[in-house]
Amino acid sequence: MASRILASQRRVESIPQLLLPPFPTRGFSLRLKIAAVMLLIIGAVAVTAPWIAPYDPSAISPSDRLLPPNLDHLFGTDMFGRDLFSRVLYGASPTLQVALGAVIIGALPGLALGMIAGSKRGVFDQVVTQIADAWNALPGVLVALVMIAALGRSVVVLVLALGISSIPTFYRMVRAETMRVAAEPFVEAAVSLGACHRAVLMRHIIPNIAPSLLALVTISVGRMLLATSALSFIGLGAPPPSPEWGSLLAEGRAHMEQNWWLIWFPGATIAVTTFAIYLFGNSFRDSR
Amino acid sequence: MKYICRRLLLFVPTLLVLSFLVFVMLEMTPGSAASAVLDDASSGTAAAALCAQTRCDQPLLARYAGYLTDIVRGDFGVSARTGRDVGAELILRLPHTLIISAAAILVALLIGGFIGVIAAVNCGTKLDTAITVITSIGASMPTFWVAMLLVSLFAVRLHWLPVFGMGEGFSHYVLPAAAVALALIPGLTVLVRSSVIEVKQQAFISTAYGKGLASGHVYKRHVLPAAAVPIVTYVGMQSVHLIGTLVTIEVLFSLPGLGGLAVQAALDRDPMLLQGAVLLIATLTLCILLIVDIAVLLLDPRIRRESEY
Repeated sequence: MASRILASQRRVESIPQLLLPPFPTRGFSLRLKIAAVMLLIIGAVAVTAPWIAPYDPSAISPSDRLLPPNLDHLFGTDMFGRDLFSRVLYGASPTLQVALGAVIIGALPGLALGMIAGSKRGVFDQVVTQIADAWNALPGVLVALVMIAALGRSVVVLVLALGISSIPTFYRMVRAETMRVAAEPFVEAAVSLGACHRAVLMRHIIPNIAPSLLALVTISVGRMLLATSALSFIGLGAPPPSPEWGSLLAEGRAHMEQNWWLIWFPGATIAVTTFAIYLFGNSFRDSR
Repeated sequence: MKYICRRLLLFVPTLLVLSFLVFVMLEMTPGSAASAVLDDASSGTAAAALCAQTRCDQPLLARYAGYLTDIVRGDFGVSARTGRDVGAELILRLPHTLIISAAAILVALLIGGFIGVIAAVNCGTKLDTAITVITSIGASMPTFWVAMLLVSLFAVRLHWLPVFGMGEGFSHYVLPAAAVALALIPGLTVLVRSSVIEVKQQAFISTAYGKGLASGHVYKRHVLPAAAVPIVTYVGMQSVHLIGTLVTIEVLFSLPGLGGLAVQAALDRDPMLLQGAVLLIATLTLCILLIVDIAVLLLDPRIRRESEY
């Protein structure tokens, strides 16, 4: 009986945040609602682009070159006569895919390594942390450059390069959080009650680092979005005519003096999407 | 002191590991531009010369060791595309990159620090909220987009500043440095704000006020030095991201800097040039991180005491 009470107390204490939503339940904060709505719209657009786009994004129409925004073409047309609005809509999916893919590739190893290093300490921790520090000194762009020089220019290389170069960030943060939680009394209690290492990780550490972890992952998606659009802009992203937002900006740059819409709309789309992602992630962090 | 020695000792191995990784990756380049330069009808001597230069008949580690000994002697190899000496190219381009990044960091520190302190002093008021909102909007804007907007406003419309390229005087550095600074400012402002708020809540600040010191004096001599440590660390960490931003800006403005060189080398599949550029950039980054760590140790006596356990 006593052990059952202890066990249930332990459960309640140690899984406070995974089951309960990581924001005050009295009411969703306004920030979170706005961000969630924006993200839902953007996600829906990315998925349904082929159905809601008014034109084919690759449809070249020389007679309609460089038209300013009008009722027919909401965002205007580019130098080949392609409708910019459709291109932006179609570009949501590849852009977001690269950003999410890079975060997944970076977060999973970083998470695993960080938790092991943070909870076990010792030689493993020191060695991996040194490697992570060294790896952190290489900017993602450089890693992408080297990989593209070696493996050619493609979306997969981009995702890999950005993901790999972001592993140390996740590793460091997860490790710090794990060390913080591992110092808590209830973890010590669990260990002295005989919990094996895996149980401690699953039942105590993960639930308690989850909120800040979620915040970091979300904010990383935003950062990756900016990074992938920057790399596409330089010319290292998906090859044309992919309507990735960074590529759209690169294409529009040559004609931007007379045709403001070529860079205003794709750039604003990137900014708005990133803003929504940041807002969403920040509301996690602030409502712990 | 022990910490500094340990960091210094680790500097060279870290650099070696990084250079080896880059070397290995570039070894995988299938058919580099070098072989494209040599056409089919080229004589055996040209092919033999290229083989001698790249040591293609030796195993990987021997090639890497040879590369290292060459670097120590100052020979970074020859660009496969233009045939020019890589070391000379790097030295030509280094000053531009350094000037832009130094200017951008300075401007960002000044403006970001100023706005951050204002936000912290007026913590909780509408001004603070406004500043926070504006900085988060600014943080979500891609740097190259902001740069293009700046170009279209200042260079094209107003003709105040040149559009791209290099030339006489500093006017060509202004827009790129401004764009990079604008990328740094939001993060810096948020950090300065939270750091100053945290310091203000500490006991020694209320002691200072209790002693009757003027508000300005308290800020200058007590708050800011204490708040400086996380800011310095942040600047160090951001220098890594700064390189990425610099690359984009240099390509955008067609500036002859290290970043643009690296991109060109990557797209041209020019291994020696890319290797040299990446190595130089990585060295600079590691140096900055080391300097920042030492500066933090010097700035805050508490960390100094803690580190000697």
